[in-house]
Amino acid sequence: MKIKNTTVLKSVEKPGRYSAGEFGQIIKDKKDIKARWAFCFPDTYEIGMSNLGVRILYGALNSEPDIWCERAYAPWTDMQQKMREHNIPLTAHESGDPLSDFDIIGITLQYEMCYTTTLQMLSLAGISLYAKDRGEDFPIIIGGGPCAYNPEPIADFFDCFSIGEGEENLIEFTRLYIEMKENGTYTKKDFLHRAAAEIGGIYVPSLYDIKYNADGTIESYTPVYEDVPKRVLKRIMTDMDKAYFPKKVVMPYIETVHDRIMLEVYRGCIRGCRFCQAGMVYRPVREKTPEVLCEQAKCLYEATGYDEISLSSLSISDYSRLSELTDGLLEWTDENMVSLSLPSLRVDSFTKELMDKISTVRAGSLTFAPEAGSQRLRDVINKNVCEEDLLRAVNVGFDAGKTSCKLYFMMGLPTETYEDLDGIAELAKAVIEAYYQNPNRQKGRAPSVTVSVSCFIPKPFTPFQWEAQDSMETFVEKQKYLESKITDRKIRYVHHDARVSHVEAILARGDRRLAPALALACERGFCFDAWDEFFHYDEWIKVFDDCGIDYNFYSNRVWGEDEVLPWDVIDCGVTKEFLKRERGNAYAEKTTPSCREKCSGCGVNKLGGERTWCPKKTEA
Amino acid sequence: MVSEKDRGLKPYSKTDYPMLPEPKFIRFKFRKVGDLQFISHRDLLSVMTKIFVRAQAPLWYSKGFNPHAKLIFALPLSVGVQSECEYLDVRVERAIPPLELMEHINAEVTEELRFIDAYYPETALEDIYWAEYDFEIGTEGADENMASEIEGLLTAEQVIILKKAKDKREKIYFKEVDIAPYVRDVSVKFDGGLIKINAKLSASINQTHPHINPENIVTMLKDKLGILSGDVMREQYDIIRTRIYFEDGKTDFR
Repeated sequence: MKIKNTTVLKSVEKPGRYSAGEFGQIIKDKKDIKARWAFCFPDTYEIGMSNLGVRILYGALNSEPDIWCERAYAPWTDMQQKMREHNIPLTAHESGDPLSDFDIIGITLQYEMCYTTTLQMLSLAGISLYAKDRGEDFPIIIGGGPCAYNPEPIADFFDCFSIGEGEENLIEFTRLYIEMKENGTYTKKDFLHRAAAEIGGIYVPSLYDIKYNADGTIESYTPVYEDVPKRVLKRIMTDMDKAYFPKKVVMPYIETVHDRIMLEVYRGCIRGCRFCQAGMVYRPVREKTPEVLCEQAKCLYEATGYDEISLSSLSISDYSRLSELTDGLLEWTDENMVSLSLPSLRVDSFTKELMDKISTVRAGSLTFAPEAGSQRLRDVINKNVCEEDLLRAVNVGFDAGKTSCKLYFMMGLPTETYEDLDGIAELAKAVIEAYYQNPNRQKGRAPSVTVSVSCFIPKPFTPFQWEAQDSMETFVEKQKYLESKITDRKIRYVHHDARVSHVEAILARGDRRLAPALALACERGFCFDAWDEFFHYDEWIKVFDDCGIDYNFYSNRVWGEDEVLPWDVIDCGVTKEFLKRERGNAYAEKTTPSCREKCSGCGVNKLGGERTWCPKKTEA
Repeated sequence: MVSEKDRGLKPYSKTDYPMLPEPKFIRFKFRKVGDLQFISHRDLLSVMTKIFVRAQAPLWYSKGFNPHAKLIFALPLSVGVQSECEYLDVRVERAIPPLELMEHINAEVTEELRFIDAYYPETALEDIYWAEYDFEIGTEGADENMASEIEGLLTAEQVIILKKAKDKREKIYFKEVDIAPYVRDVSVKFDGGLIKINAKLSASINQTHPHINPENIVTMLKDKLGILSGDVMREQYDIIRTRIYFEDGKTDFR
């Protein structure tokens, strides 16, 4: 959001969030423009500016000469208060024009806890929350991003959603808008109908009738027109080497969360961790070639001046040509004092060679995610790593003089027992022991291990989508139990707030009947629920209660495999049969090989894709 | 105009210029106006570093474990104060003509941060003694009378401001300071509905003499005259630093 009033700017925290005028921002002449986009990120400027997806789509839309895409972020609470006090509407970052003047408002939904901020942004823009209340004069509001895979809890507030990767689909959508505006056939209703019928990956919630069973489960979703797809298939970019790549970057003037080059190495993930939504919905794996990546990295370096390149992908060490890529980058990065960093590493790929190349690994602490404490449970979730892998990996670190290590786990996974929790404590102890047995360790220093435990949330489009989340009481009990098991003072134990995970679970598997609760939450001023200081569990429960919503119906119930799921209307490429099969394997404690080793027939190969590990699609 | 040159391979390389026997200082003069007034000095430092990288400036890097280029700014601005005359010294290791380097830099900045001059300095930043500011105040009740009242206050025998200070226990308190000797050449007029103040304030990069923050003047006027206390949507003020002088208060710093 851009605010022009300097008195207001001088009275808030970090005014640089709102002053805009960044180098690289795209300003166009309104008279050449046929459709204006406001791309909203429902969190602060510092977080939104660090998002790679927004950067890509901003560039892609602006590469069309007659489309102008601007950005908008959620103003911080102090600014929100000033805006309400002085009737200042939410504006776009580039032009400073009110959001309500735009043709299309795109909102990226990165996490469930941003829903209240999303609604707060609409409210600040003076836009009615419910789509049905917005007439022809209001902008079209389209959502996207990972939460659009189950958009149902917020479906009533949006005109439509873009499912999957938006580089092409958003442009086709805007082209149709321009075409209908130009030939005089545009009405919001007709446009949305045609978009749903003609453009792949566009889901229009208002075009489906939903019936519910007496027990509260869903009976059916029926399209109201014959030419509207029963299930909306997600879009993907098939060839990542040729996919749109933003050569110019908007350079923030203030510090953001990721002030570095983010080099997207590949999309998808070869693993199939059974709790992980990203690992399923971003399939198939599509790699870029090292040649293209090296060129793109150099280009971004010259365009930004950043001194760090982060190789970003779901599990970067699974990139099949990682060595070639890092060698290619190191040819010029070292002499230019540019360092390489990795967001995450799997223990089975953590080697001395990699550590020498990657400065953040060299300098930072060791971080691994075994996710579960026992081998049995790691097999259940299909996290194909074992204790030996972990101990080997930490020893590589200890050899190099590291003394601390962070381990991520999840609590409340399906089939979990107290023995599995013991396993977490034992694994941490084993790491401490490994340190003392390592002859190359830094002498005279005590090791420290941080055990960080989050709460399992069943997510749509995962083999665990039907599972119940542990009740709050169980979580608290388990957290206390684990705390009692960790007695060594060299082990630090931290756990996530189970209350946040509970609300997240409700929203993640929610359906349209949650809309009144979200609207009420907005009315009561909820915002920034992803920020601890603004999350109030009791208030949330009160909102659900006041709306008469049985929230545990969504979070703490084992869903039937034959139930119609709210997200059945979306097709992410992976079949339900595969997810059921994987759930069966989980209960049988059977692991599934990675896509690179053997195809397990998830069905996503029907989408095609270059440099995947998928077998070519066959005509059925 | 915003520079929008086509990116990709740069048309020049810093290695086109020969190495210098000794690293040499270049002094830049740049502006920091408009939206940029809201960028803190700390953020500006990291923004500048990236600009120099993009412009392929052949900066001299300190040797050692963590090599870095040193950027020396003359008079850091407070957030909310603009300037047409910021000075920055950097050391280069190649014989690139300063104005040529400035051209490359200007391709990497917006108009609000444009570089205006570049040269090999013959003076020290410590020689800076006075800074000239324009204040434009849009407040309810602004008129000729208010203008002369303000002129009276700023040219009085004593000009008392409240200055933030810290006691021995690092606790913040305000102390009264007479800044009359550190304010000169004041003129105040009422023009186009605005109170326009032009004044020179003592400015120092290393505390050899006092440095007066122009915001202190506005705060004093707010306290004494109750200005700028009405509708924030209608009242506003701008402060812009326009020139920097040597000790005589007349010769432009260079």
